[in-house]
Amino acid sequence: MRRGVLVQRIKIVTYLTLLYALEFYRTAKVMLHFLVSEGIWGALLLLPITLFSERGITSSAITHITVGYLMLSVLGAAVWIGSFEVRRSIQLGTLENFMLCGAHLYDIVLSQMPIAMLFATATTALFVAVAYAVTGTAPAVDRVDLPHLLAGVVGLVLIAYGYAAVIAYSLTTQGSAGPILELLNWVLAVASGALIPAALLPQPIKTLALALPFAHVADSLRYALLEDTPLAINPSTLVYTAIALPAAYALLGTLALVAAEHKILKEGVIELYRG
Amino acid sequence: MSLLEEFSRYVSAEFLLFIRSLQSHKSVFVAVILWPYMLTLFILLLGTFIGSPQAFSRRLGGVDPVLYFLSSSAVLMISLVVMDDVCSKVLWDRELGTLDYVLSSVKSRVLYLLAVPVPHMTFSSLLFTATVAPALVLLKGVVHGVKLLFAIAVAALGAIAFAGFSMIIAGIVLALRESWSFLSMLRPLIMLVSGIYYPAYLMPLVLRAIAYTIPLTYTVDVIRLSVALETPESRIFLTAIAALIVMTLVYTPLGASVYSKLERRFLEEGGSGAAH
Repeated sequence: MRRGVLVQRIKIVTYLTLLYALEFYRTAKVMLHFLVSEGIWGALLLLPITLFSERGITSSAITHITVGYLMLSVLGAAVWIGSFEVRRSIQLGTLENFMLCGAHLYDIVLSQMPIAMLFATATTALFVAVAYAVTGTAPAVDRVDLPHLLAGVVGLVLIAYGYAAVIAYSLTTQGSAGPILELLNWVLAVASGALIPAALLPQPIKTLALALPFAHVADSLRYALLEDTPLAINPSTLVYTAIALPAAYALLGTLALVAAEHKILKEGVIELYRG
Repeated sequence: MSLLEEFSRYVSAEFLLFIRSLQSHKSVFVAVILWPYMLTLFILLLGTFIGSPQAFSRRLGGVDPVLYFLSSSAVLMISLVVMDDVCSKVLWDRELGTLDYVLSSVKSRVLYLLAVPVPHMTFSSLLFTATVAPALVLLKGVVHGVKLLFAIAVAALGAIAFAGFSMIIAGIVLALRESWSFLSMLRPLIMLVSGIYYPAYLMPLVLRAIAYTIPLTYTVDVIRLSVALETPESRIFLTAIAALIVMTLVYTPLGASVYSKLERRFLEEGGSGAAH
């Protein structure tokens, strides 16, 4: 019985992913424009930070910023592609149909994740190309520490889903992601550890950063590629926290979406966003 | 009706439209003033964690990082506004289905597109003062206010040159029947190459060569020299101003001519109805 449910879930998510991928392909030109735009905006705002470095614009500095950009880009794509699909289906009046067909809110968010990850990876590749064109410096890879790299990548996928799920929850229950998204954006920019390693943050922000899953993932990815990565926690612990904390965050996001679904079913038709 | 009269009528009509739109979007005022400060704070904060403002200042020849990023953010804002004003008219009209009617009008489209950014330009110049003045007075003293007035004049001159450049982009958007997404891709690209935040003179030769064909690069240079540097070298300063004036004189007629040609091509191909 339990196995049957799992197979059904996998089928739903796979079909939805295929459908979304086809739709994505249909709007490929527009998406390509947005992809390029994202990469260039990232370079425009993040490259000046390298000018503050005492050692000049080094390959390590570019890797450092690229990892930060990858994280922010993955989270951004997860929201714009994953969470906002929920809003779009509310606006189109198709969410109730989805739910009647057996799909859950988390199926919708989950099925968009491969597309979001692909988009963010391509944007990051473009960011690297633009950074190289502007600074003449390519990112450095000192080593490849497989356990930390794997932990970082898995953690990244998990927090992307968790983040998208939390925003989707806000969209379905509050009608807007505004305040939550704004708050999270500022937290992410400074205290996520994406751009500044947690070890370099002042104590109160460092405590906050280590309590959230983002810094662990960013540190793990950086540690996997760069030898001189400053770490706030032991590397042998980091390899676990980089997966465990994002997994807890993803679970929290899923529970939030289940709660949102109950609310929707209790209150009937969703009237949010409809004139 | 003389060209000047026609132009002033467009400007006053655009001013009325702009004031009306501001009345219904009051929060824009606050957001637009705060934006340069927030961006500056964001970059400075991250930069300070990675290195130091002293290292930044050393690399850029004594530039004050706070004023550098404040003035750069203000120029970024003004440039985006000018480019959006000129280019988005084409897209709006096409989206509303009125583009072919507007283009069929006997009125000069070029003159109209040049008039469109004037209200925003005025507003942005005032905003530039509101944005940079408090920081400049606090950090450098009241005397530097004169520098600010000069910077505003430069920003306005630069905006005229950039309006000409934007007309070329508008013509391309029209002729290629491109969309908002195409424009959203071009905007950051132009800002990046112009060296708004990352100076053009630090870029590789090819990008530097491209940068100096864009009028915005000269605006950024002059404003940066006047606001962010304590004592800019007069020879470099005057050369930058002269280059900006030349750019304005070149790009305004060039933009008008290129746009007119591309508009004609668009109409000859069948306007909005033509399959592409």
